[in-house]
Amino acid sequence: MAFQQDDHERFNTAVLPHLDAAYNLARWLAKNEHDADDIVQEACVRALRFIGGFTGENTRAWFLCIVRNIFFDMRRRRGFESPADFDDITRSVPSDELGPEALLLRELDTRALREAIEELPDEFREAIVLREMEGLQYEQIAEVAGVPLGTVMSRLARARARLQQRLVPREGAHRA
Amino acid sequence: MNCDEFKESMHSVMDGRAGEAEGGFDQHARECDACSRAYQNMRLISKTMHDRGLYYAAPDRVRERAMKLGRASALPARRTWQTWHLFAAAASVAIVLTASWAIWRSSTSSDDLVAHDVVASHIRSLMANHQTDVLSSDRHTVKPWFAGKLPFSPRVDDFSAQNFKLIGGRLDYIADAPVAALVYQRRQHTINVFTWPARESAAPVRALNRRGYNVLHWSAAGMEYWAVSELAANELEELKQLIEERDKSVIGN
Repeated sequence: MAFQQDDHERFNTAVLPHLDAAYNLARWLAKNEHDADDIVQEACVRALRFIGGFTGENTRAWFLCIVRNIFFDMRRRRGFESPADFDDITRSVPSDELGPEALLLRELDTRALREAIEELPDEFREAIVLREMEGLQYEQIAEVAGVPLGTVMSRLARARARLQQRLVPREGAHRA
Repeated sequence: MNCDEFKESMHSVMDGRAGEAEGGFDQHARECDACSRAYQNMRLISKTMHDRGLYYAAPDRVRERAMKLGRASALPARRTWQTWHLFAAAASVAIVLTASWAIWRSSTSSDDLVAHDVVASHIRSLMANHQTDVLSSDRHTVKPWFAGKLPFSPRVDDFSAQNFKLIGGRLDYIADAPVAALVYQRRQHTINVFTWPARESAAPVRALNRRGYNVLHWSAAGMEYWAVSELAANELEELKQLIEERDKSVIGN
């Protein structure tokens, strides 16, 4: 069956090269290996099944979208509704959030950064991982996450503001 | 620009969507200590996130399962299709194929064939894990390696300082001719830069997306370049600019 053969061929050449990107996203979203393994395996099964009907150009965004949907389905099934309240995700960044009192950070420990990223609400973590680790443009992140461009920008801004808040020592903090 | 506007613009600048010189951004950074600190902190956080230590590459167990799935006959669901489903599918595939063949025939040019070749070569190099014939980040090792193997001498440079690390080089065969493939790495992503002497006078710069990969084609200083990667288009553009600046300095000397 040539039709089937073609799906496997497309899966091998267009989807498999993005396995690292898929795993990285799944692992950051799920925050544990076991779930990340399951999510990626399920994503591969779905990608193989649906690639025949995929006509877009950007297979990576398409595959990452499958990955994130499986994670958010899993989260819903397990009853963890969005840990970030609605306001958190939709509001734009308040200008005072960065605080003029932030000191200059000279070096940054990867472990501290990892912990800070893990503490972000899932939607923020998704945006920042796709932007900083995968180098995706705002438009592609919007495509993956299925939200408008403005939401992507506000999630990124708020994710960064939180990381800074968490990681940067504040002037006067040592006096308190 | 005031502090609020600065904090708003900061992300666009960091994400390469606006220049530092735009709208008085850099001027405000010079004048306002607090904003300048916030900006530098953000950049450090962003830079550290690029660190490979934070990246979770797919472990072997996951890769093996996925590759097993990719081998034919791993998907039984399709076989349970009703015959008429298959007929319908076959018919629509035939229509689509005929239509795309017609479009392809009318639009295809030697450039498209080259684009196809370079993307295929990029994918092959990733899948077979055969990215380099000569593995070195030292251009003085990579450049001479090509010497006896190609009828031309490619220009080779390492751009580690700009986060494009030279990994090595490889011989390849594109559009019926041997070419040099220079392999760079940014974060966990591989970039193949194919280069050979330009066959026509300056080709226009072209950015394409093929099978999910970004492709950038340009020619400069008598050489033709094709860069392919899953990196974002603007990052490929960055590499192109580095190579172009290098080429300019070569000509200048």
